[in-house]
Amino acid sequence: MMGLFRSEVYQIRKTLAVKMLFLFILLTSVFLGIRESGASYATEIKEAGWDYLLYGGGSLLSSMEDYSLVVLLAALLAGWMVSSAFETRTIQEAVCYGKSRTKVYLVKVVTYLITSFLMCLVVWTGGSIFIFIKNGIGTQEVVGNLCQWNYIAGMLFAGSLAYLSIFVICGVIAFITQKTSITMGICIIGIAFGFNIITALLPESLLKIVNYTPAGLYRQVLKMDVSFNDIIRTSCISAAWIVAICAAGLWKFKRTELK
Amino acid sequence: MGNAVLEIKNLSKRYNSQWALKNVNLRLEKGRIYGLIGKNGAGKTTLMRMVSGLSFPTDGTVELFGRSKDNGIENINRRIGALIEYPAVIGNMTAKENMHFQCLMRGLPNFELEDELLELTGLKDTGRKKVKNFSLGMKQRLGIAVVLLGSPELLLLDEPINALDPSGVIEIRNLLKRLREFENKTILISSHNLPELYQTATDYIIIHNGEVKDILTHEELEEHCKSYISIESTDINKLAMVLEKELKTGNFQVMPDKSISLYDLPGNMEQFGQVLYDNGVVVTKLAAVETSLEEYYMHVIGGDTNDGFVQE
Repeated sequence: MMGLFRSEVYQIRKTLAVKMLFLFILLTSVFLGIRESGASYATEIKEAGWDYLLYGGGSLLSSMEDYSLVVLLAALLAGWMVSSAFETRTIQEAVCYGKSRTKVYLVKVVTYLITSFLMCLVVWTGGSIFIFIKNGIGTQEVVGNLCQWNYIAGMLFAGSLAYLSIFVICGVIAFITQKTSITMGICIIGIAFGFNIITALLPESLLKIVNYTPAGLYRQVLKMDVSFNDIIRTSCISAAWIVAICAAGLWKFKRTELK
Repeated sequence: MGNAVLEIKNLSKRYNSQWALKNVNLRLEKGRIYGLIGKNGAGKTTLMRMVSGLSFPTDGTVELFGRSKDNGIENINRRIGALIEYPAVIGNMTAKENMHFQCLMRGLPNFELEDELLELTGLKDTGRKKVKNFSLGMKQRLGIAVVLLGSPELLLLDEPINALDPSGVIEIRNLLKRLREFENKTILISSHNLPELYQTATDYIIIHNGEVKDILTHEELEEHCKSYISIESTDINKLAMVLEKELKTGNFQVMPDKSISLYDLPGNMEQFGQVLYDNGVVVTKLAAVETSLEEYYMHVIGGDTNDGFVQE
């Protein structure tokens, strides 16, 4: 299994697209962060009454709420890291060599999830770091139920898990389609827009159910008045979804004829 | 069990209502090169995919090195190398980087093997050129180099000489022969290039419509492909009777086109012609023919002459 991991890391290091994407989001988030720490932006925020965004914690919340960007990153990486492995036949080569399908699948999914998470972390923190430095983390009055550090830690932990439950769906789609373009299309259109369409069409009574699915889990913690119970509940439900979706993907992959 | 490297029993594969393979039985001995011959869609790639673990049989068993694949393939499959359809290469890496990636994936400690195999397949001087800029033949060579990592005992090569230039074909042929002679490797190779396969393989497996039609050694094939005389006559029955009764030979075959292929070559053609004339046989055509591998294949499958095979 370590051999598979090492080869995955080696491949990521050599994939120009992933490095370019990483550089792009790093520079973009740093640029945005510098802009948001400027005086004119601060005035704009105060006038809109969004004082919490002046602080590091609020800025982090604002970055993490951008669902579309997260799904876009997940879709791109699912295509480049997972589906392309079928197109280059490296997954088939590993199976031919005798690596169990379970190991091949787990290594690929875990590597993809870690890479996606790290990319998102760069987006979320890259922009917030300047506001952290300039205005500090925030005050107790800014957030609802938790002290600032607990709020940030909880938001990062539970929010990351909630988003990982979406990433893993993209990863499993990549394993099923085995085509880079189809994976990206389904993930971007199906997940980014599909979830929004579903939540827009569903009646109020059913929306509560959506909040416990990957489509709505992130909203349970990415809010001002998050509680410790919200964080624990969301983390557990997200972890359960990740395991369940992974298991479903593995079940399917073990029965898939590889071309 | 003996030296069986691969043993296939009643292997079948069905896609919906279509049988891609039907009751295939095969036994590959160590240290031989098996040429798998069949037209497009005959089942060659399907067979190789099932042996390598990419596909699952509908019925039957596959035993590698005396062990059933049902008992777990992880360690067994490390003793085989498979090049199925297209080589497993990553376009945005160089040849060396691809080999390094494959070494890491396999957990092989010997990185010197990368250079050795690249030299063996003529790719040592590709430098920093990315594989996406390689020709198809170069990609095929890299695929073969990848397959040889880990020194597998059984090689499954699905049309490895496609897109190779003539010198490349000769290099690969010599390489395969060397692998067999000096390293006692077993090789199963499928190809449409029958003349090339004739020069490379020690045994031939003819597959048609998912069924193995014939398995024969190179010596047996040479026996079948021996020269014969094709005779056409106004009365084929009379000709057959004369051959049996007067010339005392039963080593002939009546062909679908109503000609007779006589495998016992007469020592004296003049005397032969005289016997036919004396017995009232009117010969309309008489020709000496040598059967090629392609013709033998066509004879076995009973097909037409335009089946996408390379004829040189």
